[in-house]
Amino acid sequence: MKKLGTLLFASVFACSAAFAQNASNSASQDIDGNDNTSTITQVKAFNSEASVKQEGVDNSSTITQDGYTQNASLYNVGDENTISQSQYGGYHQQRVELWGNQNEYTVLQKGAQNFIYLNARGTGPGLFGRPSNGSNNNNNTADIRQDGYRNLLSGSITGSDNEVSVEQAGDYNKIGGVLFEVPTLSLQGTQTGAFGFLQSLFNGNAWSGNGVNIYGDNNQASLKQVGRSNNNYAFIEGDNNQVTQRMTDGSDNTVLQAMIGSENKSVLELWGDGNTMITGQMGTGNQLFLNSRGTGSGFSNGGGNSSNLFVALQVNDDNMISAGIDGSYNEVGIAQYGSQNEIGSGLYAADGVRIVGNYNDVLISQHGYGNTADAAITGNNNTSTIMQ
Amino acid sequence: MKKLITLMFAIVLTSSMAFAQDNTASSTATGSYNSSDIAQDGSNNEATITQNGSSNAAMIEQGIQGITSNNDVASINQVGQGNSAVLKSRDGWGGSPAAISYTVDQQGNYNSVEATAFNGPATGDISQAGSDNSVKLTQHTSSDMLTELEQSGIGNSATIKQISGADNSVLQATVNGDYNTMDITQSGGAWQKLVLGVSGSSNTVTGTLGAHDADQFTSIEGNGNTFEFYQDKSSDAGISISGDYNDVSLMQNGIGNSVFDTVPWDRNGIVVNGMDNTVGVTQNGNYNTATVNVAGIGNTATITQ
Repeated sequence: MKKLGTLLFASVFACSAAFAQNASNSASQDIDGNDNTSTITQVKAFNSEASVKQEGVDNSSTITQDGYTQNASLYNVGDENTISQSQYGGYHQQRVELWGNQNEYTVLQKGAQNFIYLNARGTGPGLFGRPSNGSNNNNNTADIRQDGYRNLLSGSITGSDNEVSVEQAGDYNKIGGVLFEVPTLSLQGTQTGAFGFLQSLFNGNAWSGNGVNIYGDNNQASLKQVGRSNNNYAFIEGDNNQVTQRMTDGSDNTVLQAMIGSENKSVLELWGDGNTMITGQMGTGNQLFLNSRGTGSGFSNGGGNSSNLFVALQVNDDNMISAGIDGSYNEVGIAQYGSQNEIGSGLYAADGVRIVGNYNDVLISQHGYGNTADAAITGNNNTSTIMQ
Repeated sequence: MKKLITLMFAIVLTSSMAFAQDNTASSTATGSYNSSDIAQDGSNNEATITQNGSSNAAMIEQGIQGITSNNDVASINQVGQGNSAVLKSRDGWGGSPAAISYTVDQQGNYNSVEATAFNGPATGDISQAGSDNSVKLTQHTSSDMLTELEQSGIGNSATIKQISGADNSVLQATVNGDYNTMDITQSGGAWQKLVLGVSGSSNTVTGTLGAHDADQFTSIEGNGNTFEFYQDKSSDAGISISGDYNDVSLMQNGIGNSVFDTVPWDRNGIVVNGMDNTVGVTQNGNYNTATVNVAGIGNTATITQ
């Protein structure tokens, strides 16, 4: 958190606070200047509105709401601003529009059926309809946490060197509201089924505002979910980005990721039964690591890690996939289109596709020249197929 | 559980197989009832499957799409019982002399190897150590093929075929143990060569060698073994027997066959040392030569021309 002590250089200083109780309150603040502090607190209410609009540098906005069906919105233009929004209860909504550099956004929702929409693309209405961020939406930090069930988050970020951290704890949560009907692996080739679906995502289908969208370079995103029946979507375009999606201690989860660009890194970690993971990268020098071994922080080795579907696709050259899976009755499909691709030792030192368990199916397909694939299985009644 | 079927990849590969080459695939399985398949198209590919356990299945297919497939290397290593290894290789038209090379090493009992090489000068090296193992090897539609086979144990069987244009092909086979059977067919070509070494008892080997100029050099050490060979014109045979109660039958049809010392065989025709061995040589045709040298007791040698 940035300090607010640099008042000597403030051109404008304003300190305002609003406290509201009981039903259907409305509070709004419009701040234009630097080093301002805005605080809105609404408790024991429902259907309340809290709105902050600030343009400047080193501003701070804090919204706290307790009750049900509260709305909070923030429109921020400028640099080095600090935004904190907390909502307790259920059925809340909050919308955040960010445009600038080195801003910090921290949000907490506790309860059920809450919704967050984060727009850091410079395109929101509170951002005066700016068509482009002009490459000035960098080095921001977003820290989002939702505790409860049936919560929803969607966010889009355009810029570079940003850090996004999302954590949802509970069941039936969604990072991405537009749900996909993920197809199974097709018998008719990679133009249909799960691989065809991934290729359609490379065309930008269903990206906007669904899950976490990032456009830029050198961004880092960590999207964690603990629970069952959750969805976790991420779409990234740019270079040198790293995205981690971790879903632990649950079953029937779906993680979906598509990345376009080069030198990107994807880490997908799952543990549980009946989960679906669909991920694709298009570009060169990308790395993808699938960890379904019950290792790493946040895992408690619950369930049996069975009957999961893992599908990974990489298009272009010099890419790498490595995977470690412990469990049974899992199905793994990996395809690489291009040359000098490798299914081998990559992130976290996993060596190719390594599986420990029984009744697993592994299908690896590489299309091109100079490719390398390693598959190692320990257990009984497993099937491994490599096509080159 | 959703099922994946390899058909998906077979269809997909049809669009990209022209670019497939220089690929490397490695599959390792530890446990039982596992299945590992590798399929590659193009040239300069390398495939390796290693399995430790029982009732595992390994299959490597190279060049099965029919495109040019040269310098491919396949290797299967299995340790355990009841394992199976299948190799299918096909060189594309216009392939190079070094088209296919494959190696199988099995240790244990009740294992099997089925290897088929088509349309390319294949080099195969197959080794089995254990009992009740089997090999079925077919190399065809190419010249200059080479197979090296070694079986050690009891009750093993091998069926070797180098056929259809198999000129200048060579089979080097070694059998160590008892009650093993081997059936050899070198046909559809000429200038073929069989180098066979048998050490053990109660083994049975039958062989039909090439159209002409197909030579064999056979060494037998042990008792109660049975050998039956057929050769055609201008072929040579050198056979050494050391042991008792062995039965050797050689038929040479056509002209210009010989049973006598032949490089590299440092023996004088058919040489027998032991007791109660039976040697029968039948030569049908003209300009044939046969020599049988016997040392021991109760041996029988018959030459029919």
